[in-house]
Amino acid sequence: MTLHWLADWLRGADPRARVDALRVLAMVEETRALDAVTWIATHDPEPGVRSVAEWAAAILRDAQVRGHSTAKALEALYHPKPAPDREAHFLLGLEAVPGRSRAQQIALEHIYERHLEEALSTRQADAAPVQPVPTSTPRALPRVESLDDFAALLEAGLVHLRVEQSDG
Amino acid sequence: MAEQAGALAVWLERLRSNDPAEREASIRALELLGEAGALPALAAVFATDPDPALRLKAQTAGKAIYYAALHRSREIGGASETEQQQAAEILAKARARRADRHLRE
Repeated sequence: MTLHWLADWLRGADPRARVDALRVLAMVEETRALDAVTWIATHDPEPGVRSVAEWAAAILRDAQVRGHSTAKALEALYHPKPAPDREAHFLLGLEAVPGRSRAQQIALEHIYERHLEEALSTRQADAAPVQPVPTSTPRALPRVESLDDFAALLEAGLVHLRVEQSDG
Repeated sequence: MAEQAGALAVWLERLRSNDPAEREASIRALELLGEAGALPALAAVFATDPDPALRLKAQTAGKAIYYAALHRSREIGGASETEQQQAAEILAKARARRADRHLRE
């Protein structure tokens, strides 16, 4: 089930559905909806809906003042930035450290390739990968071919590490 | 799928129980189910339940379900065009640096 119904309910003719949508938006502190909710609080023909909208708008304003946003919450939940020391430790581990066996190096490469593919997968994944440098918006990403590629993406914050490196 | 819908219906019904313990169990179960269809019922608890602790639990569960649904829809949509462009440029630069290093070696 997608979330399109929320917007539909908010705009819909059924006052009960509008109330339900307002309550959901308040519950999840969807601050992007504050303008819409504020508008409803002033303009909805139903006094009951206006009242719920005022309540929801107050919650959303509080959330906004706290600095909450859906984008930030999603970022924190699904793309946590690695701690700087952990990131540095991982990057250091990508260098050829004396004593690391070739098998460990290969295993590490496999792990990062798998995570990188997950991180960069797109709907156009079935399309042929674009090898040359794109001059406009690419339809698909060029292939990631080396540890250098990975490190460069990491530095740009485009890859979020979820790799645990073993010691030794 | 039908099993999931059946479970959703059962827990939504129990969410209306007079027993706070049963409502709390329902909130936990609905969060585990992760169905966006539970959001209006959880929001009703958040807005009207007499128990403040349950209101908070309903909000926590509702947020978890909402964020998961948003995340799924973003994943289906894939990386943004800006992110793709940025990644493509970074990869090209990394490749150029590598080629340059090979030449010098």
